[in-house]
Amino acid sequence: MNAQFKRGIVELCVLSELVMEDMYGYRIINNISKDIDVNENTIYPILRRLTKEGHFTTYLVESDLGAPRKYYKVTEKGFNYYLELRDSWDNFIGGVYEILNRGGKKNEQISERFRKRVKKSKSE
Amino acid sequence: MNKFLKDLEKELKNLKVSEKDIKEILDDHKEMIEAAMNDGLDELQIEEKFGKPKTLAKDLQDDTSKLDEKTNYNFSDVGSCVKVDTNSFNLVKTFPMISEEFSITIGLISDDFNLTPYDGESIQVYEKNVKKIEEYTILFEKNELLIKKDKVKIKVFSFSSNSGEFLVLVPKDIDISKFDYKTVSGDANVNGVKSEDINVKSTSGDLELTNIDGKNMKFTTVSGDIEILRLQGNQFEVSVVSGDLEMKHVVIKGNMELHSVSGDVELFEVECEEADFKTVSGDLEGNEFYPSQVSLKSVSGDITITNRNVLKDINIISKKTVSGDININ
Repeated sequence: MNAQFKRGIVELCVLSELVMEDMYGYRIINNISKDIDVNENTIYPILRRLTKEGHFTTYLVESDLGAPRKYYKVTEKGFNYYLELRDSWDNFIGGVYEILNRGGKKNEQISERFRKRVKKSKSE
Repeated sequence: MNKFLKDLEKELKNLKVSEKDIKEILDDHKEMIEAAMNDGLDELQIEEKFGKPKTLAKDLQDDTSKLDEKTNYNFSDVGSCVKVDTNSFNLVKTFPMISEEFSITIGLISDDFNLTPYDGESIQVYEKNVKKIEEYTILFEKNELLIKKDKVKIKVFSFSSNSGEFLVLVPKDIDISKFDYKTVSGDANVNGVKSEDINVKSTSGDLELTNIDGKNMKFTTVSGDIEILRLQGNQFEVSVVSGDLEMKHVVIKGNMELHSVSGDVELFEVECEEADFKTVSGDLEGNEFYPSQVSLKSVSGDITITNRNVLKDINIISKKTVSGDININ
């Protein structure tokens, strides 16, 4: 997938996770990489940039298992940004599905249509 | 995992990331790797999860440098300096700055023009690919910097479109009493001007203006595009015929007039007292556009204003259109 495009989507996912609750870095990475194929080197730069831009603040929490952990918290600005991004994502993906669904919803349906069409053009 | 941290540190140092940032990044990673180990991940899994230090460092550097450009600037400090690479230019003249204030008058035909503040004490004029520098007047007199292409007889059959480029560096934090710029087809890139009066006029040359602070400002082009990023002032007048106008982060204390014939206008985060917009067929798209009062007039152009802050009221004095749509959300 195009790196720039992927970064935008991951940014939205990071925001979404943190809108739910404050989390420390590794937990965010873990939660996201469970569902989509990304690793730390995509997520961490996003965390850092959004923090610098004032979308997140951070605070430290002592941990029983070693060094204190840095928690990320969404600011008002970050929350508004999330809503905005979420909106444009919904619009975009909605549009993409409009287009894709024109050709059929399920693979079988799509294949069937396509084979028919190929057959037809051959027999002509 | 120490290897990961060491490699990351090395890569970041190679990319000249600041010491402070490197320390922060390494601390964050120490913490995250520790958390991953507590989760029971082994070296191999961690390696997979954290990826290559080299790509990570590159991504971080990209983001940091982009941020610095954005955040280094604030309106009280218009003279924020951009590192200027003068290597490809030739120094033409240097004028010592003796007075506190001076004006700038530029009159060019097809040469491009760049202006930016820098950390030095004198005014420096550079050129690149300018043919026949003797046909230009470049002087500093009576507190005025003048760069002008002299009138020469135009040979009918010469299509010499050999245009060059000028670069002017002015000491930062200095007030310019008047900035007057005229060109026919040359592009201009003006950064960090703080001046009472700013007059910019171009026929087909594009204008790129960044970090501008002026009391009275007037920008005019025929077919040249205007791109404005971060501008503040008291009065602002922009007029384009077919060129497009794009304005981002603009705060005008007084009134703003925007006139376009067929050029499209795009506004983002623009605030002013009274706004007057007129167009024939150009569209206006305003996002986060907050004038206290506004008059809109269009023949066939569409006007769309979308604002998120519903608390700020916009008083619409008049809106007229023949066939265009006006939408204010």
